[in-house]
Amino acid sequence: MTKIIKEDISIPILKVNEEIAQELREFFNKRKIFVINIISSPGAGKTTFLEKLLSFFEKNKVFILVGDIETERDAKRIREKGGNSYQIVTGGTCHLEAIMIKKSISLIPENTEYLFIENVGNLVCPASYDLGEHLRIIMLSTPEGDDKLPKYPKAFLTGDVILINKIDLLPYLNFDIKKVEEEAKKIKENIKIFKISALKGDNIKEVAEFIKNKRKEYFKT
Amino acid sequence: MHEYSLANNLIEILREQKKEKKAKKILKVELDFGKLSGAEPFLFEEAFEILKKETEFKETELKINIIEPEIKCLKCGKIFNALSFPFLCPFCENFGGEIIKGDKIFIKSLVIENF
Repeated sequence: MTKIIKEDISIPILKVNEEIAQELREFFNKRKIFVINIISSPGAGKTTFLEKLLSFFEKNKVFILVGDIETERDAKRIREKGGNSYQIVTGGTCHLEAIMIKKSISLIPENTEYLFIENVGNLVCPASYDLGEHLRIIMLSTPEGDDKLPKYPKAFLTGDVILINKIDLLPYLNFDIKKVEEEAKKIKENIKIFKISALKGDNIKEVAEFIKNKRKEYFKT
Repeated sequence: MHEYSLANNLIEILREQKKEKKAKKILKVELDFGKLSGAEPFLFEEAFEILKKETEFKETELKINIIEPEIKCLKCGKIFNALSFPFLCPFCENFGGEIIKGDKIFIKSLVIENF
């Protein structure tokens, strides 16, 4: 005699990712590794930004994980600049998940203080996946247009920092930077905004200082 | 476009639940699907229909409830529904606010057949 019953369970669909992300955060906290997750559209300038940013850190204290659908190119670019980097090839997956980070943590050298995760270029899906990070940076670049915030609100809602990259191109573009800043503040009052040029190096030092202070703040004993 | 990945997560959770509850079959699964979850319900449904064919959940029916976002104003603390960005509190006209509901997907209930 079979019985049919209804059971209320209330399980988040991303339960497994949330559990692994929490586990990762505990691991990072124990090792005092400050983790930064960088999310942007493809081509916004994440790799160029990281190449430039590296020059303001002691290279042996930084490890960079790069997610791409195919190729090792970005990790190779960072290694050519003297950085310590490993490529996660997702093979079609449009975002990084906590499990992919977990599989790579054995590669992180002993003395690492900063782990940068360069997510797959996509402003939609990566926003939903916690990777155990302490700081989430959302990057947008001026050629993409000044309407990214209302179009991709979830990414900006989950971010702590917005980098507006390629400001060196502003004279050639119809990009209302003031409007973007105002919209960002309306979406999230306490969001930190930096206007940078990764290529020319404008304001990269300020971003580096901000990240260093955030780490100090987070791990103050 | 990570609906396939999410549908796969659902199938994994169904497997886990079936074992845990010693069920013979899962007849129905009900989801609370937040409007701000970053995924599209109709694409999710399509993905689930395709993926389930290869599993023991071929006959599992999917029901999706769309959950309207609820925002808590950071200034006056009142809760309101918002459908557009940036969130604007209708009570004190402050921008911003914290999402307290409607940005996630939850598996709400199962209808199971026991032995």
